[in-house]
Amino acid sequence: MPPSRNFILGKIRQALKTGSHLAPSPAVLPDAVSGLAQADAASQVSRFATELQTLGGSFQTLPQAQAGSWLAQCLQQRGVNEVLAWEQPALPVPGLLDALRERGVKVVGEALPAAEPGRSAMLAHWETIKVGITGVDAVFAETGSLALRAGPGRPRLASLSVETHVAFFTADHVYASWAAWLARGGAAASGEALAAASNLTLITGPSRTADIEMTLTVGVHGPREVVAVLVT
Amino acid sequence: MTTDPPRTAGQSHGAFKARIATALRNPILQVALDRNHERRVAGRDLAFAALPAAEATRDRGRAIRLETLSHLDCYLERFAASVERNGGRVHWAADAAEAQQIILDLVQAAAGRRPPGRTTPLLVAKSKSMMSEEIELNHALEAEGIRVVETDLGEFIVQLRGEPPAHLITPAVHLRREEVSALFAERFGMAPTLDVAHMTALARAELRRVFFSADVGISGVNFGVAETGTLALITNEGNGRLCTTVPPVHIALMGLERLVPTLADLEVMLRLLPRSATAQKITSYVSLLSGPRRAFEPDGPEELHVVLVDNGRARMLGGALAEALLCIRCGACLNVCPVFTEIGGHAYGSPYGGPIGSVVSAGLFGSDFSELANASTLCGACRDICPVRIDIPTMLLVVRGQHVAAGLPPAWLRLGLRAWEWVMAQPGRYRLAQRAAALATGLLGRGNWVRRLPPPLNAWTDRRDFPAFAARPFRDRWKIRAAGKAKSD
Ligand code: SF4
Repeated sequence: MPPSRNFILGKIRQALKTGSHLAPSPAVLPDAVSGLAQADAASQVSRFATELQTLGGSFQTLPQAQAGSWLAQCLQQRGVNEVLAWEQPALPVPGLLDALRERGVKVVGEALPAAEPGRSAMLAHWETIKVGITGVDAVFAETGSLALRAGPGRPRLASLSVETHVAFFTADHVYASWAAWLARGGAAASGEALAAASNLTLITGPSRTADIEMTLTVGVHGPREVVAVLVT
Repeated sequence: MTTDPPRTAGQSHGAFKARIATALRNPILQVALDRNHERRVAGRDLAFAALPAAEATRDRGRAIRLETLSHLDCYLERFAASVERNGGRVHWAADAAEAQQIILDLVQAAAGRRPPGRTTPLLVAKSKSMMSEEIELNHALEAEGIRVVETDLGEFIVQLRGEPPAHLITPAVHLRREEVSALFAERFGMAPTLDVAHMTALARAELRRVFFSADVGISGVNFGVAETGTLALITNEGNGRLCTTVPPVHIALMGLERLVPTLADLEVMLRLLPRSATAQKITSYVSLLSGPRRAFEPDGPEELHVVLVDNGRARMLGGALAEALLCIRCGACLNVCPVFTEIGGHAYGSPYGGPIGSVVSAGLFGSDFSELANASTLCGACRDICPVRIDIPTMLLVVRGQHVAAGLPPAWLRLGLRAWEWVMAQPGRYRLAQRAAALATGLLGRGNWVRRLPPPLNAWTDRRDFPAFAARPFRDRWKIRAAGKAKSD
């Protein structure tokens, strides 16, 4: 055991014993229930769309059968023929990636090698990819947020190093808020699930900064464009 | 390891006053600070007005932080065990020097993960961390030939200028676009422009190369969750995500007070922090990091190290300034402070400025910084706006008391107070002094105001007039009144 650990913990125990000046901690208050949690699914979806659009993101509803051709068209408009994507089992649209491949789009997203030189070589390739395709674990209406967990076939960079992030979800993924997901999302939202993956990211709109003269600028290091697609 | 004294600023009375004078004379800074004050405070008020049960949420946030600090030893042990269970490694640093050494060793060890044949200096991509400012990390790494690049846009700008951040949340709050433009033109050959989007795009391109070739990513931590060993980072730009995802090694640096017990507690704190800091309901990104990349995951860092830094916190916990450790670094008390709004962050000469910074700096770095607490009107705006209701004014008074107890106020002040004490001890002396003062201000002043007093009293009249003493003191008037009353009875 490193000496500093015990030294520091000892000092803290001493400090807490020798009359801490902290006020006694009050009992934790019951949480405020937000009205949105009681609202029906349709109003939650429309709130999600409004919040996301206010922040400069886009929202789209599509029947499952059209998702593939819609996405292919989007890529074409942007002159893109390569995407960084989650693997098919992690996406809520069956056959989505095959639909892209059939139209000549290259789908990238296999695991990075852990060691060099493979790791940085593959990253250098990923860095050039302009569009990322992901699913979600949940979306939150109150803030227009997407929750994405790392996992098998779910590269973190697909929602990060790209210029456009397209996320597909279904009505089952919609919760009023992060608090509602924690309360009602079951095992998937629990602390154990959080600890089991290296990363859970809540994404709310495009990357932005106001560091120069408090002037809002979109697309700093992360995606400039976030497109959330509700598949029905 | 650096052998420089830990902090060079803030020591002498004269130095602090000189920095204040410089800030007050800088018109660009004054405009920037006014704008920061207006927008941030108004935005924050709107954000809290829209938060359901805002006051109860603040109470709960305070309770969570109090609970954490009251059992900090238990939560630290739980947190460390959880991080290690997730595959991360925890390092404990008693002070700044130890933290520097731990990180230096980790960065140098990362050389073993380089692609063969790479000979450029080791490269660190950093996202915002106040702790790294506190322990002067960049300086220590650079002294060993390591290249450190700040990747938050504001931090990137101030680093290029060789300055420390001027605000907890908005590091380049003191600069106009003209200065950023000139800086980028000089450093990157950018064609002259005042287009903020263009400048941002340039920084994006520069920093992208850094993210994808960095050997190590270093980040701060907004909260650590004891239950799950999770590190929560909130950012808007995405640089924090890149620093903690792309490089093969991620080092997270945190003060050991920065914990919450559970995931549910974290959710409450994250309702408060962005609203208070930037008037956002939630930031663009909330990254919850639990350990390094798992074998079944396609990307992420291969190693995760958490460096827990004490550097005076344990000592503070046992003293009268313990409550300052509740702080969640939202910066709201800076934005609302009438003194900060005039002098800005750099004048404080500490990584932590503004009201809470004056308390924390004295608590962590000692009496060299206790003078900062004098730069307050004690108006209480900081206490009112603080999301976790820290009683900052009371602690500012405690720090002032420590300042006096340490014998640090200038000699004329001590002499003056002794003279005042002598005068006040006897009614006769007091009466005499009153007469003398009324006479003096009567001679020096015009009407009810004195425009100029002789030194050293001109410290007052240089900036404002001094009210003249009443020609007939209250005691005399009272006596006359009492006499009159007795007669009419
Ligand atoms: S003292 Fe309160 S208001 Fe000031 S930065 Fe800390 S949490 Fe925010």
